[in-house]
Amino acid sequence: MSILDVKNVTKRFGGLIALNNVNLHVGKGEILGLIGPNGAGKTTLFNCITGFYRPESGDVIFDGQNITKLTPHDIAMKGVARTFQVVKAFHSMTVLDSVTTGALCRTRNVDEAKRQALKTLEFSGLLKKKDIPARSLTIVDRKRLGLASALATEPKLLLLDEVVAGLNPVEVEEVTKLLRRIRDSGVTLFVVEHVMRLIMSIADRIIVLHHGEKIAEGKPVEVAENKKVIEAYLGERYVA
Amino acid sequence: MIDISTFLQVVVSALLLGGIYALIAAGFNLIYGVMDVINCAQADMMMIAMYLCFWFFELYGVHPLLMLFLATPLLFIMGILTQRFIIDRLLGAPLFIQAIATIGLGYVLQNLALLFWKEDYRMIYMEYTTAKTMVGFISLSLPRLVAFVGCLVMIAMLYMLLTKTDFGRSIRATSESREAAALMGINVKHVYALVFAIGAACAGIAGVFTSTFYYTYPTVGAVFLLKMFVVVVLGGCGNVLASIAGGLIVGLAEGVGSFLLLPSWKDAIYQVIFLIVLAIKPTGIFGEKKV
Amino acid sequence: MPSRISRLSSSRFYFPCILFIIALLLPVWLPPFLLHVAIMIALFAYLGIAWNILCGYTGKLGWGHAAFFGIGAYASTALYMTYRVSPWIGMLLGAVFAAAYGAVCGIFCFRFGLGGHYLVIATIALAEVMRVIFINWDGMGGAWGLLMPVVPDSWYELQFHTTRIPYYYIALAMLLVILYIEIKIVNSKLGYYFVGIRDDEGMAESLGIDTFKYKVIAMVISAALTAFGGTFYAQYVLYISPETVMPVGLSTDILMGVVVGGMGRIAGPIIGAAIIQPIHELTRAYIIAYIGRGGLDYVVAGTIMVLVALLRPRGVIEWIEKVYNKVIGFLPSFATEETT
Repeated sequence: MSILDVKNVTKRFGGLIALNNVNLHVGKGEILGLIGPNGAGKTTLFNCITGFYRPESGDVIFDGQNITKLTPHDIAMKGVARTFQVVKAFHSMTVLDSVTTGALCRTRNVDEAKRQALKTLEFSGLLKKKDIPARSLTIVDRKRLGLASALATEPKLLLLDEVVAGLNPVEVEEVTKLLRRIRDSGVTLFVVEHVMRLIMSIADRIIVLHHGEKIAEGKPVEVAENKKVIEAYLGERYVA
Repeated sequence: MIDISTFLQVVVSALLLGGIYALIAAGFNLIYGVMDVINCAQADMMMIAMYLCFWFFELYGVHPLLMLFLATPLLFIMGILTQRFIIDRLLGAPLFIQAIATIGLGYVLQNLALLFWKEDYRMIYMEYTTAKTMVGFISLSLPRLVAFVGCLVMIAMLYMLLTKTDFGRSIRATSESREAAALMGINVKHVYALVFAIGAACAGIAGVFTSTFYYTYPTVGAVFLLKMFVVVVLGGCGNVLASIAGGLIVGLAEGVGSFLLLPSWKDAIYQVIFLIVLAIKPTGIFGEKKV
Repeated sequence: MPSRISRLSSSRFYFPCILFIIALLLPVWLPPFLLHVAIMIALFAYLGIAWNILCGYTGKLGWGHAAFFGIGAYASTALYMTYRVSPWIGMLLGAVFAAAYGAVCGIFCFRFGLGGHYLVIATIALAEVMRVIFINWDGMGGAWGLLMPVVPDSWYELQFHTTRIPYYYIALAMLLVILYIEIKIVNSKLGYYFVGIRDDEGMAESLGIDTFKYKVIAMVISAALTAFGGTFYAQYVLYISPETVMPVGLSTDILMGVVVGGMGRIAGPIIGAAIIQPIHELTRAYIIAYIGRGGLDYVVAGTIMVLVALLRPRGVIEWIEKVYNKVIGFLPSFATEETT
């Protein structure tokens, strides 16, 4: 049962083809990893799925509905949330306010949204920092805040764009645990990552993108052995 | 039926004013293109130049066109001082703050003028400023025609300065990346000061020309400023050469508009054109930022 | 952000309470001219807050609020002169018309995703178009404007001549009402969404916020509120014309106060108006008395703008806050502070 279907999506920027006839599906409840060298088109794919870009051709089907031409906020309301590669934050708001803003998409009542936000903060391990303004947070916490804010929208599918980039191994481990908790709570995860430690340990399946095309798909171990993948990464090979 | 010669007279006359708009806008675009600074006092600097011409004529009988040699350097220096004390600190500030600061500066200029020279409309009355000339079968005001040609020549010279000289190259380099330019040994502070001064000088030259056929009064800048913004957006923000296109279009629109509609609607015409352009292609006809 | 406001029992409210009491008693000992200044402060503080709701909170800077102000002034005046409709009712209709034009401006500007300097010039253009329409609208007095028929003091007709005191209390009441509205908005879903839009539109969209819709809502609310101010002004000066109620300079006057005081802050517009308006009025009065013509007030205002932009772009409020917090530290508090 797939929750997200990307069918023949092509995205062009002028003469540059960023995504070329990409096909993939995300199964409900799974953790799908997306890897590929820089410039492979991973963030572009995310942007197409979440409505920030419109693909030249192809369709994006979420939970049975065609969301290809919808606006980002409509897609978010339908249950697709995301984080951003270059971490985004509401810099003038506190942590609690930020997450409350996310929770407000499901209710009009601010107090109720705040309650939800507090629960989400606890779940994400940010409760102690709830009154700190976002601009005073460290990069690590800002990423976690982005994740918490996205979670507050009660998504069915969560797209994470390099959520552990720049984190040390201990921090990566914490995030890995958090992601597992998220999956266990019923949210499907679609994760873009460069840090192999995370992907290998947590993903059920992995898709590899290179020059805008899918070059491999399968279980982590299979993908790690795949010749094309190794080639794409220029001979480097990560061992989980 | 429309009287062709009257129509052409009105339209061409207004079109000539477009040259002035273009020069003011060119100065503005230079400053914006290179320094990313919005100079809302651009038109008020023009006003200062206009007053200089008026007073030098009234008191010493100096022909306004001769003021090109006096007003321009004065405005140039004024530009350097303004840049040094005010604009320099605005680099990198949010745009709104820049606007506030330069509008404040504009207010100061306008109201000092008001304080010292009163709100009366002034005009330079001499043989030159009331002269007419025939172009084909239309009669045009001579000073207007000279102003038009003069402004276009100035823009062309500015363009040549930017593209053909070493200094122009440093300017363009700085506009692309101030860090890279600094690394190449270009004194960015000097470039900025000179760029702003040149922009102010453009306003000054425009002012000299304008004083020969337009009323001089403290708030004359406000009128030109709004039109300048429309010219800038029409041509493309920061695009010096495109100012010509923008200026001509606004001038043309004013001419045609005031002929077809009541003159009191004139002010709305270029605003409406502007809104349409914003809707269709906000970056302007020729695109942004090509210093 | 919003959480601080609800702590009514904390000592932070000493000063505003004292100010409020002073404000209530002000007319008792102020001479008429200073009372006029106070009325202007209240009016521009009101207008500043209305502007702030769009520009301070969503970060979308409009420079065309004079149009909404003018629509409010003209609507109530025209209705009164034609049908003897009380300005209190005229106000409401003025707000409706202004809201409609606000929707037009908002939909146009935000449909095309205008922001930054494009938005500024676009809103100026939209306001100028409205001004030119009124100049050419003979039914509304054209360029000459409308002269309000003078009637004896009356609350129904909102005119007072023997003393300005009722005007003062009306302005004060309007200010308090809009403060209440502002606080309500800031603490509501609208408030969170507005600030979200200001801080990062992309992220806001990703959290389900329809940024277009909320930007237009902000513009409409701001427009309607500004219009009320226009009606008040019309009833105060009893003469309106496109040059006095719709020029670009008026929009600048409104936002000048907010920028000087502090954008996106509740007390910002009040502080700003309290600085700018007295300077305006006092310099204008005294200089005209000595030199015989105006101008100096704007020289001073202009200088303040430049100084604020260079030194304190976030507004004077930051500096006042520091001083204020120091003082608060010395004062006892009534009750323990609640935590949210």
